[in-house]
Amino acid sequence: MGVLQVNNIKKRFFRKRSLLKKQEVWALKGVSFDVRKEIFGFIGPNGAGKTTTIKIILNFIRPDSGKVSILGKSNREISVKKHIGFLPERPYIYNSITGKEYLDFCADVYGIPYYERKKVFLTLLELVDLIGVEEQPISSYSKGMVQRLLFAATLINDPELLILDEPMSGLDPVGRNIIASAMKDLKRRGKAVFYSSHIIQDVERLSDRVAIIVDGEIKLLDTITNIVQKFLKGYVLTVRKVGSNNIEVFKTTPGDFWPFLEKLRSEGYEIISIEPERLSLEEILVSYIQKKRRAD
Amino acid sequence: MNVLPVARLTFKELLKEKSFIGLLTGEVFLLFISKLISNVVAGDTVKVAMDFSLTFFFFTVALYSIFSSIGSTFRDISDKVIYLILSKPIRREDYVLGKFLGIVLAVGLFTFLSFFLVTSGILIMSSLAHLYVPHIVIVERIVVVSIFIFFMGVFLSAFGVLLAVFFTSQILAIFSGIFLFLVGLELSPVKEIVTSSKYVSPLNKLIVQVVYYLFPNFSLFDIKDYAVHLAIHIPLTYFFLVFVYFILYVAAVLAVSTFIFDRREL
Amino acid sequence: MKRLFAAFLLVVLAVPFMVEADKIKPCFNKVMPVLPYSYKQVTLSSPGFRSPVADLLFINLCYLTGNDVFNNWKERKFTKEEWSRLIDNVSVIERLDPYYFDPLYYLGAYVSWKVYKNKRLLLKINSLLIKGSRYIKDWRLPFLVGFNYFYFLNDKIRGAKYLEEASGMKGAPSYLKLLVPRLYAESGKIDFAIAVTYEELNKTKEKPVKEELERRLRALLAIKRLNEALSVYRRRYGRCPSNLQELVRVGMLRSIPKEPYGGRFFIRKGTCTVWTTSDLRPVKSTPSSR
Repeated sequence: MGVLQVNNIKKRFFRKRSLLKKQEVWALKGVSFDVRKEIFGFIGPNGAGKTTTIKIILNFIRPDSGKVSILGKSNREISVKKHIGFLPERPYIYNSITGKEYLDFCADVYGIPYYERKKVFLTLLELVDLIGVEEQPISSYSKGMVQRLLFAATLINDPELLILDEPMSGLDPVGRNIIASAMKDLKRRGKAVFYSSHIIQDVERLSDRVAIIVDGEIKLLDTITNIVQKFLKGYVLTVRKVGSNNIEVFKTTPGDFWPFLEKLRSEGYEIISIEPERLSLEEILVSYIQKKRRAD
Repeated sequence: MNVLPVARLTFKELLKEKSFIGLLTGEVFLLFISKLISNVVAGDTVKVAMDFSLTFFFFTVALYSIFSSIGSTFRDISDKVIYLILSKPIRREDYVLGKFLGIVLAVGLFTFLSFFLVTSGILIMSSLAHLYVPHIVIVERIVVVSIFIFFMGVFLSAFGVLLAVFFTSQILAIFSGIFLFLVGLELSPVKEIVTSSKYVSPLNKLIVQVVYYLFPNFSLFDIKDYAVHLAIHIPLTYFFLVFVYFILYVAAVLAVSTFIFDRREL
Repeated sequence: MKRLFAAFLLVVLAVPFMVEADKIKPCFNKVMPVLPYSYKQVTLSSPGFRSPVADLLFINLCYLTGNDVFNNWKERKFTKEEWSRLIDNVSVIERLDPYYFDPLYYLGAYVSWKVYKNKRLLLKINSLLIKGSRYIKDWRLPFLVGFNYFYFLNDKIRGAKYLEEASGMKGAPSYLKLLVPRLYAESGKIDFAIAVTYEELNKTKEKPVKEELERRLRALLAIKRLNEALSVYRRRYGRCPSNLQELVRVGMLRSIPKEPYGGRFFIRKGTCTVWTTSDLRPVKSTPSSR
């Protein structure tokens, strides 16, 4: 059973053309997917409907049709939110309060008793490397620190499902690493992570499965391994003749691979490396976007 | 029910806002102005000083309530703090009520501090004045006036939350808040003038009557004269009636706010 | 730094323009006009500011009438129109803040003296003071009304009526209690005077005032008795006696009663009534010359 199930959600907006005329724009044209206990990447170009989907999942806006269920319950039920964590894109919290006051607020909401708080806060702050600044007002934090703090705060209730909207943007490599390892840790402990991003390398590195959304439609939904297979173009072989220093590079298609290998052996070549040549996730995404452009 | 955490967060945030300490400083400044104005009047200077300082008190609390309620709620929505809050197990109604409660606490503290400032200012001014017939200042009466001003602040905060969730522009919300307040203050005199005039058409009289009954009547909370003139006596029934009116109306405004906010797309 | 210096230079350059412009700027209203304020306009334009606006209007009135820098240190002469407007402005102030005492006091104690020749304005002032005394329980308001009636309008009976009201209020000086019966008595209303004195006597607790009232009552009763004898005499002889001794001579009185103030009773020829040389005030060594 999926932790998060999104069934055919549709959402339209009205764009004002003039005072009376309104143009109907479909932001989501029937999006369906499900997230299991895994890291699920949600990628797509700007304006494809990533954030709209996330807002619908969290019941900030309501879909025109379709259903979202989290842990088997409707996303409109308030009890569901006890088990999820959410970090919006470029998150912000009042500058005037301190980091600890925000954590206190979160602890209040989830009913964490006072005697446990110190320990909980310490673990979280340690995770995001913010120990020692929690008593300072947030106005003294850098942008990355705020994001790390708020990320830590989403983990306070040990969520079954963590939803992150562009968690990596605006972070330095250290910050990205912190968040990536936290995500992996959650997966290891049997939780689900659903996140959107347009930093494709991270997605490729982290995710078990990805969904590509372009123009309000899911174009591709599969595991990373399957995608790699599906988009395999061939192999790049680096070889040299035995005894010589001349390195030669050959390319083969998957069909030609074994005969070519036989040929090399019979001709007395030594193989230095074989690399699969495939489309990167980025190229796949770009190809979908270009297809859409051409269709328009 | 997760009203209290939101209330606590809002309260903390509002206290650390610059407008809180800024308006209190302004209050002190206005007390000096009251003193200066009272210096130029012939006769009872304490009366004039009290008139002005209590009026300034009244208006600073009103402005603080409008600005803090609209500003704080708007900041939440425009700066996406609302996403952080509503992704937690907090109902939208809880959020609106918590927000309101936090603002009420802040307005209460603001009123208390201004009361303290204004009362000490008035006492100092009356001790400095040399009058043939001394103007007696009764602090209990100023307390009663302050409680009414606090009620008005709560009333305005409820409206501020409503306006903030209703409008999508902060400027518009603040201006309609101030407009609403001024109209609410004018209601009684306008009705008095219009209904007693021979030159107003019956239709307009009817319109004024309808507006009079439906609009919040803020002039009910304006009992500053009670503190200034010892000859005025306010019956207990008045306090009771105003209190009931205030409670019912605030509840209604909050009901409408939660209704609107429940349906709003964020 | 250079830029700051340039900015300073620009401001200096701008100064002569300002000075020249200020010189030829058309001047409006060198003399502060007495504006007629309207209650409706004032309330509608200043929600929640009723009392402060009342204060400001009163300040305006004081500066208009005062001989200070605004009036070139001279007392300004107002026309009848302007006085009337000033009095109307006080009525606006009192509608804005009905419990405000000072403007009424200003009206009664200052403006009355300026407009005493105009009966209409005086009556207007009186009606404002009477209206004010409905809210403000201060003895000075009926006192001022009574004073106006008595002194400027020469209406002793109404004057006495308001002074009587004033004398009964808290804080009123005790001499008012004595003044009222005297005014009644002086205007020939001896019965009235006796009744008022009697009433005061019952109400008063201060001992010196009580003694004074008792003396007054004795004098008034004596005058009453003399007056009664006088009227009997007039009915019988059809003329006014030349002096009080005549009453004793014809046997209408056993003796002329003693005047408690140390003065002497006499007959006022015009009205043929009895009055006393003391004017109901204690006479010291020399008899009153009035």
